[in-house]
Amino acid sequence: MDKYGDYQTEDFLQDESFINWVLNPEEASNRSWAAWVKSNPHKKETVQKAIDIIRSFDFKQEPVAESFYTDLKQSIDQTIGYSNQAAPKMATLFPKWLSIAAVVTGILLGGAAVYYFMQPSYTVVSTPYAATKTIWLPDSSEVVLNANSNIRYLSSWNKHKREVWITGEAFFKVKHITTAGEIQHFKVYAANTEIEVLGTEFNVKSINNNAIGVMLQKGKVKFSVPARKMQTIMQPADYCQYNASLGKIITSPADPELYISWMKHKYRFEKTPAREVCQTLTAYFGYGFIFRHAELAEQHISGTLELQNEQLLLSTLSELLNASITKSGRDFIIE
Amino acid sequence: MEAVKPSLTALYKASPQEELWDNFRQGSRDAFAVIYQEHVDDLYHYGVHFCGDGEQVRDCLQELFHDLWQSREHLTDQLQNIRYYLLSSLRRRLLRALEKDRRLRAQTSEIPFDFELIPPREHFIIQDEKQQEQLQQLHVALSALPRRQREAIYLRFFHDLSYQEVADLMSMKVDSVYNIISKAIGVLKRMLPPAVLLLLLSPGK
Repeated sequence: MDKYGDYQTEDFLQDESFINWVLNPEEASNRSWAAWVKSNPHKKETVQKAIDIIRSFDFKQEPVAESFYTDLKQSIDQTIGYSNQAAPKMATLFPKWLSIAAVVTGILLGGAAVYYFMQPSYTVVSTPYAATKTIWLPDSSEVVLNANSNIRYLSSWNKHKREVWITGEAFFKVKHITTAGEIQHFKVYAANTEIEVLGTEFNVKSINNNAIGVMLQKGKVKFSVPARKMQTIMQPADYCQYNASLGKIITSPADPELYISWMKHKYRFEKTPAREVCQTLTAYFGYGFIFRHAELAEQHISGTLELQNEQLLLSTLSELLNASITKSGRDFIIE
Repeated sequence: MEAVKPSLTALYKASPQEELWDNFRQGSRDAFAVIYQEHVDDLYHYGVHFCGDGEQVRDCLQELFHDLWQSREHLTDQLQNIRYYLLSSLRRRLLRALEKDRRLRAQTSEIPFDFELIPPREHFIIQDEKQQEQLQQLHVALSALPRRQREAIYLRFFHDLSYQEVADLMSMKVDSVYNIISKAIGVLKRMLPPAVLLLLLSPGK
């Protein structure tokens, strides 16, 4: 290591082996440096300067939760056709009439089986109350299912006709796919509405039995109600709601955060009637809310509720409403 | 000043990496998992510095590891540094994604991380006010470097790539990378009296 005798600070900072020693002093291949520095006391100052400069490099870095990486790994494993026990359970749904037919008319079993192979079968993923789930479709589009929701698609998955059916609420991150210069469309069916997309991010929610709300975060979608021959093209930050009893689509600008905060296990509300907040909570947790006074239900509240801590959620809600909340059976009474 | 040629033996840790890579190429899920575990955190942080959009980085990482697995049989058997391979692949993907994004979005949003340096970690409690002030100055000097210089520093000193690899990754000549570093050091030297640098040594390692 004779050449190092004439080295200046800059030279050390450009020497791979020196830098490796400073970065990994414990590694066996770098240890000769410690001995060299010891036997060359006249270089101590120069060397120390170089070390200081290297050590002073430090970069901003936000901590990342371990779960972020395990989730990502799971998604990767799913897209490469390898899933472990932690992956969401998939169930194959047979047409209902078929299972009945098969049981009742045993003789026709063979015939029914032939029929079964000709009939489409669906893959269904569903979530229980109070839990969300992220799934990857065969085209590696991402879907986050909110609590008490389900998604269904053809097990055979037609890549030229990507279609899924949902109930409840889900957030979609659709993969933009073009084959031979042609954009592959993606369709979501929710109740009697259709959402057609090219590759985009949006949230779909069944508000109750006859209303569907779509929040578009990115890209462009066509929201339509085929039975009524109605359709509208949505732009980012548009919120569209179709209400079957009103028979029309209402479009309004909105803050996407309010509609997708559930994915972070939070519900954010802004000037929302308490009745609606509780409807959302009912959809998520499965228990009901009873308002003792009608005014209370119509009171507008703003805030954030933590979905993973029920106690905190209830006390926050009670603060926001300035009312007491007590449990009674499967319901909560607000007064 | 002469550019010093990196000595290969010191650069690359011997066989474990090669063995891991071989196992992976032969379809070992475990090797794949180890590669993921070892690098994903560094890759993510580099990506966030590079483009500032965590979601985008996540998407690119998913794609990267997906493609890595799918194409394992066709990958070179002479990979010298997995980390370099992954970092450069991520960088290409991010550039492509940003390019696409720019066409979609008119305005360019600002990058929140952007190879931002933070003040040197305090390895020991600094009681001397003057010393603290000088540390602060050092940080200011580093932060004032152009983005590309900061990226080169980040890759060389934070991700432990060789100068040659930094050059390849940033599509530069290796001499230019040496230049960046000596320019950066020049700035530091101008800004800092030698005494400051000496003050930084001291007890903590």
